[in-house]
Amino acid sequence: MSESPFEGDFRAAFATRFPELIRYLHRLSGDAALASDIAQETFVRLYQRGEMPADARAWLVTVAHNLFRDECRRATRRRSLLARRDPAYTLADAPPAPDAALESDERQRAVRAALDQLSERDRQLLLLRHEGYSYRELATVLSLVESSVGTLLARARIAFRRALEEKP
Amino acid sequence: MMHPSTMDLQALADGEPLGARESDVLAHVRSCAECQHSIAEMRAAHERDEELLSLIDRRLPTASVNAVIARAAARRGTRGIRGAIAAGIGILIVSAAAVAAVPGSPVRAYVEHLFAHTRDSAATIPHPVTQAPIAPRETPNVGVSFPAGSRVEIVFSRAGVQGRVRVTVVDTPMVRVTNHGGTAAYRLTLHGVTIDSVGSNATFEVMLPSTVGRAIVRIDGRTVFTKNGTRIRTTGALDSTGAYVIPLGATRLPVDRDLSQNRI
Repeated sequence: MSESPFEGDFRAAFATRFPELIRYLHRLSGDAALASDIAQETFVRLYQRGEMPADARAWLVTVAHNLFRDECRRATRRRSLLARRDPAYTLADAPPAPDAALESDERQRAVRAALDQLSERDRQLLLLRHEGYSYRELATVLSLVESSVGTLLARARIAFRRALEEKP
Repeated sequence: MMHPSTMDLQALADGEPLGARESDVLAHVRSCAECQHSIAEMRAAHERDEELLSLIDRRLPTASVNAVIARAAARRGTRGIRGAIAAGIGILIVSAAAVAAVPGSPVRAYVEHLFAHTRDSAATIPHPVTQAPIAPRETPNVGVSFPAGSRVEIVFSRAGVQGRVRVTVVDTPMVRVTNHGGTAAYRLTLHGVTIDSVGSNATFEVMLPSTVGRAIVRIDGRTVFTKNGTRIRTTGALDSTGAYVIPLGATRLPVDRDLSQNRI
């Protein structure tokens, strides 16, 4: 049986967008399992929609944000996992040499802590920008005025770097 | 041209369009080493940020597109089944209602039996409002309501000096006493209610039916309000809402004081 035009578009979108969406959600939440669940659920919703949205990338992140917010609100257990956000619990790569591991752990912890200090909007702005979102896409996804995105992004970057510097 | 703003340089570093001023800004930057340096620094900072952010990346679980499609399809199927079940239940309810509407049907007889049983059960439960208050009962803080007899006594056994009582004569069959603020315990008595007011600044609303022949309000043993037929005597003052407002610290009602202006 031949595949419908929508299914072809869906598969293409999945191939290109799923990896970036799950990476973004993991950076946002610090929880790999949660990121995977939300990314998959977002694509399930897209498939159920039956047609591709005009701006699939913005649509996917908007739905993922809503799911993430719902999840944080709903599950206390999840919240406790997010609050812990200890990279030691989430890293699955082979352990490097002891000294390097210690240094690497400290830096990861510092980055995670710096991200956690940002407001939700600053964190989303910074992380989405690093996923290659344009100012216009950021404005759409985060419901901002496009002309203010540059200023807000600059503030988010400064806040992130300051939080990193303050970390002992 | 002056140096472009930091935001414009930032936008250029991010590869964002600048609209109408883009050609001017670009022309300046091409000839300005300082601005070129600023943009280069911004890009380097972004790259450093990206390097730092990538430190927290890890191998993430992968998902197959076929599994996602299967999950979406399964959910759609479940929704269809749920919809069919809901529709079935709806049809059953409508059918049962239709059958029950037919006189002499067994469904109707069963429904009537159920309602009769419910009525019987309700009849055995005494209504708390209409029952005469024969035993002391405490209701903290909210208030009480009881049917008015020919005589009503409302007694404040312990009252703060800053609170007040508002007595309103109303055309309802029930006496109602409620408090706003403070803390009070209500104990129903043979002819009315005794209120133990603990709060220092409570307002008590007393709704007194006009049909009550004799009514008396006492505060700490002092009589502050009486109603004898249509005649009202009180130490309080009539306010614009038609309520007699009596301070809880009120003095005793003078025996010889003529309060005929308060007659209702």
